[in-house]
Amino acid sequence: MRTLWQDIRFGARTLLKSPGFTLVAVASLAVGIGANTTIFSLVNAALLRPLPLVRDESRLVDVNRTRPNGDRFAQVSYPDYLYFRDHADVFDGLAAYDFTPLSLSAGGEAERVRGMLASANYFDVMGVKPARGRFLLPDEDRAPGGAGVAVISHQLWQRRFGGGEVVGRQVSINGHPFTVVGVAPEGFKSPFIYLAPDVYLPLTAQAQAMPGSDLLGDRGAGWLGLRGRLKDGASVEQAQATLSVLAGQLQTEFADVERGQGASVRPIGHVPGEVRSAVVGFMLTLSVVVGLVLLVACANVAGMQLARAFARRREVAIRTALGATRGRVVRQLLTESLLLFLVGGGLGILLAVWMNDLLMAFRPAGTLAVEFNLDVDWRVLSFTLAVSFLTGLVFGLAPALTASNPDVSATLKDAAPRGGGRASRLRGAFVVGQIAISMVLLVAAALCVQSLRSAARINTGFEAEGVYLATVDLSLQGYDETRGREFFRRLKERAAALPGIESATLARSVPLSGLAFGERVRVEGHEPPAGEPPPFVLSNTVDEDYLRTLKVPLLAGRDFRATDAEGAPRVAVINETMAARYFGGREAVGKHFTLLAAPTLRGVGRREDVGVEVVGVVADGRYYTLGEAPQPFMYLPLAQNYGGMLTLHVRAPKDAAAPVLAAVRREASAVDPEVPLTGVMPMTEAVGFSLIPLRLAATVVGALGLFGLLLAALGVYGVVAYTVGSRTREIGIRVALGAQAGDILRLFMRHGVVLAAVGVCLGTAGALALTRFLASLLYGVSATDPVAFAVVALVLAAVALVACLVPARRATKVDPMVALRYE
Amino acid sequence: MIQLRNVEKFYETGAGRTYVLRRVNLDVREGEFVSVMGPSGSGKTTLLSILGMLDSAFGGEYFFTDKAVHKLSHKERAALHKRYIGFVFQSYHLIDSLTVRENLEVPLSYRDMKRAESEALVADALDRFQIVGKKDLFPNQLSGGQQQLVAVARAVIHNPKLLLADEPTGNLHSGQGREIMELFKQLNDAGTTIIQVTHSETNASYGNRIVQLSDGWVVNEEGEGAAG
Ligand SMILES: Nc1ncnc2c1ncn2[C@@H]1O[C@H](COP(=O)(O)OP(=O)(O)OP(=O)(O)O)[C@@H](O)[C@H]1O
Ligand SMILES: [Mg+2]
Repeated sequence: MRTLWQDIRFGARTLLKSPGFTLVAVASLAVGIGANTTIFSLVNAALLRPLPLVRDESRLVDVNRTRPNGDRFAQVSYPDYLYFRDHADVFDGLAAYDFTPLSLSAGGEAERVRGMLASANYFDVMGVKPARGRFLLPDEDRAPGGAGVAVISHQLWQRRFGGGEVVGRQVSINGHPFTVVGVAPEGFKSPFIYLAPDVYLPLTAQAQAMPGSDLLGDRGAGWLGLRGRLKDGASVEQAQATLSVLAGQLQTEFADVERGQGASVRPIGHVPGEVRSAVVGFMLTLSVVVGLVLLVACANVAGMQLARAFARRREVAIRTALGATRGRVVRQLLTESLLLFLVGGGLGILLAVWMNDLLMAFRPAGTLAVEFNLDVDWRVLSFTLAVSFLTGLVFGLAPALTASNPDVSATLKDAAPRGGGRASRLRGAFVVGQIAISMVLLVAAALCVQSLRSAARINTGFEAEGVYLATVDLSLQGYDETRGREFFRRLKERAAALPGIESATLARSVPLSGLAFGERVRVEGHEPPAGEPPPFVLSNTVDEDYLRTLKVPLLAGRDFRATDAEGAPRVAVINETMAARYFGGREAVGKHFTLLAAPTLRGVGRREDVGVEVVGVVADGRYYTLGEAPQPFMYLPLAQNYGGMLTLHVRAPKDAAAPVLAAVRREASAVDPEVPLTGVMPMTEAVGFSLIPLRLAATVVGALGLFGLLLAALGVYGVVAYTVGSRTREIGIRVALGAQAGDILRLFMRHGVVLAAVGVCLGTAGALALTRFLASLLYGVSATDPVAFAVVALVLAAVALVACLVPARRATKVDPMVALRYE
Repeated sequence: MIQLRNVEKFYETGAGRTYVLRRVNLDVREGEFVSVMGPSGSGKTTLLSILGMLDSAFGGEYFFTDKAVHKLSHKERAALHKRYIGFVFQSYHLIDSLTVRENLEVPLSYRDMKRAESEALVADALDRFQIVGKKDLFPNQLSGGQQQLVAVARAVIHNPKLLLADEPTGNLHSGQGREIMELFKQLNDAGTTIIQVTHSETNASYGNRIVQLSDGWVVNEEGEGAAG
């Protein structure tokens, strides 16, 4: 113990004695370990962290239906839930829930909030206590309309009600009156750690929460997630057996709807079963990338330590002469290395805290918002500690063993005279590895950046700049079609009358925003082969002036106009590809096709076949993703195809975002203050949605790649500088024997150039092997794009050359007299 | 060939300037064989380094074949050095990581020589200095005397016009020392100008002139040496 303390003290002193080395090493390690800690916090948050506040989560299980088509994670219908709940004796309680957006107003502007329909025993099963008031009562779960009671989240309570007295307060949810009876505890999430509802309603409020649909009586409609708490002594297997039996009973009793449906029970996981493998895969990819960066950092530090070890042979020889065993010397050197890595790890944690905040900035906002707790907890701490300790041990061992080799000088002179021997070859290998890894990261980043650039050049077929959006969902508000139409008519009129607004229109969806609709169509002469469904064509339902507002070029025929009203002949405007594919090009105007009836879901869907006439043909555009191939698309007039959720599009001067958006908000609340606006943003932002993953990838990979490049440059510099330093005498001799500056420069450049060349070759091979995993993110650039590879290789080569040039030039400045005096 | 005018050399030390050479005036004509003698620390090595253009931080004037060395740039001086000078160091200064043969090749590698020619010269030198058997050994596998032989061989291998040798026989058996001196004599007869540092009167006797240094001063310059 005493000697360990001595080792630590001596190690710290040695490190402080060479502050340059220590600083570079600690900084490299801090970034390397910090990046890994960040990704681990993500893994921790998504997969490992326990649900906050939930009691004894090992007793919780998820219950799903299994379907004949192989789906093992199907949702459960309400009648089936009741049957399971009342007959499964393995549970202390079996709760049901579903997430659904709600519109909330409590005096003042309405807002869209994250809602949850929950069974009365939901909080009991999760094992949480209310922060205020009470939770739902069993009676309220039976009364139609959920007895008009609601529980709200701690967060909503603080944000919307200022943390004041709220129990007993009346609020309006989707236009229906509800009474707040309680507040959930602070920090409570949901069955999923990254989703936290704002408002909880009893299951029986389903019709109010989801206007237009009635799911409570429908045994065929699976919509509920089930979570149960096992009785003491009951196992998951027992629960599975029980539920299978119950599912069998349902099958016999309701053969028509229950055919082939079983039940599956498994311990809870944070990620819904159906996407778990994708999430795990994504995390794994990230982990590999940051792992590579850490490897670069470690290799760099190990390389520097190796150089120092070499220079410290004398110290080691003296220690050995004074009686130190080799093990003792190795331990001393390892302690120093561990110290370095632990300090690096400590700073890495600080860095991770900061990077986590940065990462949070990338998370989508609005109703899609997810909650992530990226705080550093004991899991993250132990991870970082373990990583620092292990890397310190592994990467400290080679230098320690080299330095402690008792006859290192003899080995160097006899066995490996050229190039300085094993230690320097090892260092060379580290540097080659660093260059190769940086190359892989930089190629990946270059591909992302190239994609972003080609994405910016893609002709989307419309002009998003200068267009501002606001989405209104009247369906939550219980508006019927007549009132809804009136609302939208007035909203559009008022928006169009605003000063500076060039035009205003309405549409069901925003292209490239991640939401698209479509229907199946029948075109005479283009019947699908037997057994195949009719073609599915993406569509948007738009008002007059849509084409003008978005500057979609009209190629033939006409735009929609006021006369395309409800009773008038049904019409459509189609794009070039659709015209070419089904109607022989621009002669399409005047031709007919049929929109086919589709099964309705939650009250939405075409109930009967409708024949339409093509009245216009417009230029092709991009509709769902920027990278898509041209595909058929059709516009249907809003007047003939009503929808309760529409987006107002207004065209205004390009730099007027804030005032325009504020004015639109004002007009909407003037029409009906109860209606929440969502997605109030410039269209460029909505359209950029599809680029978020690419931006994120480019930023993260690019940052890591640049860091890797910096480390690799330091590595090359270190190796060459060290070689120059250890060969000063030789340089002096060579100069005395007639070597000119150029000769000396070449001598040392050669070393670095060979390292760089090998690194770039290996990196190219590595990048070729790895970038295809990126292919799905890329637009308009191949994963093996020669330009990206060449540019990165050149940049790397140039950086490596400069990194050798600096110390090599110093070699040419060596004064032979000084070099030769210094023995 | 060489004219030194008031050459001075000093080091800045804690106590101020320490002069190592003081107002040295020296003329060496082409074809001369000069021996520099003097007690340890008197500045012999320093003088030789200046003459060999390895040290440019000195005061005074140095003309070499009418070129003002003290005015030349680093590059020009290096080029001049490369063209004319061969140097034997007092402490040999072989390159540890190269074998004997490779050490001999180093000066040739800086003088645009065809591979065959350079190999022939190396073979010839190995033979002449009787170190053929040692050609693949590294310096640390040689005795001090053998290292000195290699250092001398390396200095003359490219047949320099001016050979500067700092105690070239200090570690050699008197018989071997004599052989080196005989070799120098032959080179000198063939036209090589030689300046050697030596403590041995016998060695000095091979030259035609002795320069005595003491505390940085040239104290006495003897004319044509006693023995031929
Ligand atoms: N870098 C230096 N700083 C200060 N003094 C120096 C330095 N290098 C050499 N000297 C001094 O210069 C003087 C002359 O050194 P030099 O090597 O020329 O002596 P020398 O005559 O060759 O001696 P020896 O016969 O022992 O080889 C010595 O007194 C030495 O201490
Ligand atoms: Mg000397």
